[in-house]
Amino acid sequence: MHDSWRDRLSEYVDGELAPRERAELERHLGECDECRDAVDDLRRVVERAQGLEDREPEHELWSGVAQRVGITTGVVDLAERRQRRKVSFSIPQLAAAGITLMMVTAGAVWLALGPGTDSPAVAGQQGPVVDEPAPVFAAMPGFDAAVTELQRVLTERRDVLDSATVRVLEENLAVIDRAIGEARAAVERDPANPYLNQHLADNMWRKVRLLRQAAAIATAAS
Amino acid sequence: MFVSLLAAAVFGAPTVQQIDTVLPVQEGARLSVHALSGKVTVRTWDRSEIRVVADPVHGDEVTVRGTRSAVRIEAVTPFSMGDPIDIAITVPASVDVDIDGAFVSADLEGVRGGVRVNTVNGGVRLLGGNGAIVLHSVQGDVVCEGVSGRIQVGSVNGILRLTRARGEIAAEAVNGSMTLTGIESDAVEATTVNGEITYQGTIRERGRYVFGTHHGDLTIAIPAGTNADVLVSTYSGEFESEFPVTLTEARGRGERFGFTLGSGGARIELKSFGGTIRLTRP
Repeated sequence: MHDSWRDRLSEYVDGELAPRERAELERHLGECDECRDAVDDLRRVVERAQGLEDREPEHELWSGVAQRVGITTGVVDLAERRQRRKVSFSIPQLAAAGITLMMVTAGAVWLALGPGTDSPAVAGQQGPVVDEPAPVFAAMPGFDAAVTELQRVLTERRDVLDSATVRVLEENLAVIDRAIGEARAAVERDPANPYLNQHLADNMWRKVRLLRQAAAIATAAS
Repeated sequence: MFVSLLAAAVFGAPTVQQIDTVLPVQEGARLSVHALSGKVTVRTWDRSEIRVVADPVHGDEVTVRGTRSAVRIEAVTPFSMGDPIDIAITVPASVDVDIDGAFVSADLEGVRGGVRVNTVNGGVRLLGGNGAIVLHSVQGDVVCEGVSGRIQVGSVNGILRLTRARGEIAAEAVNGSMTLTGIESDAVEATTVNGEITYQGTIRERGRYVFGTHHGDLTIAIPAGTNADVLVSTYSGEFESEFPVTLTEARGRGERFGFTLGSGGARIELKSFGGTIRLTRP
């Protein structure tokens, strides 16, 4: 055990040692397994902390799901998302684009489970409040497959969750399902209503987000 | 102190009972906490140190590791449903804090850095915070006051209360209501499925404000003199206003209409499928 070096490991990992001390410590690390292991451990702590800003905890889980249901993922930055908001699409188009967008971006915010909503309202967009074309509702591509796959993941892993959490998740999924059912019925009565189409799409996305969240919780608990 | 405690942690300290650890940290250091069950309390002081106090029992283990730039606390139990471990942490106000847990409640006061809390079953209370603020609970209330930055709060089955917040705000719930008061923002988006939304705050001329619920009322305070374009959307709900408004457009079957307040400018979207949309004066 080399106590003379052990209290310098933190400074070494933070890059605070003078070049000469750093070189001496690195020579020591070549000979001391314990100090080398300790440095590795500290580096993991620091790297993990540095990765917090952009983390997407569900990334691995979601990547697998997205791949299985045939959804293309990619990096979409906030500016791009905002730009997309300025373009007029039909609601089905928005839904299709949105589900892909949501799948690749929702994690950190809602995080990890987070609210997974679209980004907050974007200020500075002026003009008419209503500018969307009359939509004709169609099923959102990928929605059913995504829901099925996420429910499968959740079902497989639900045993690792406590019963109270399962109950809360199921109750809230039921709340969303009721909203989807009511919105769908309203759309059938008034298919050209852009609000109803958007409302239906919003709640479908919300269901995917909650399922994704639930699956991530179950995965983490496994 | 630091040397021995750090060494104990790094070199595989066994189960620790009644730990009281102090680690030196630099300005803007990051603290991450991972716990299964218990309460995490964070307070601030004017020292460049992080102090961690916990009383793990029955084989539970709390480890504290880190450098001056990053500290990580892990509280684990040998069983999946072990005893709750309460952890009291004192930090310099400048740190960024990240708390992640399952049955964990979090109570933070005085932090001036970014704060992330993600828990499954437990409430979150944050007083202060600046930067990226991300608070989420599945089954628990989220209460946040005096924060600024990019703020994201969410609870699946609890209420959200955001007070004196400044910055870009996103709030989402499923089966819960939300109250946003004293808000200074030009970008607010708040949605829930089964709950009410109450908003009192700025309506800035180039701002955008979106409030939506399925089964629930919206109560939005509109200051006198506001310049905004307002779109109201509902299916089977109602609209009420404490002050007169003149419709400038109506679409669909009358459930969707817009009007301009003052000279227009801000965009306010109010959406409730089956609830009442209510405009009030602050």
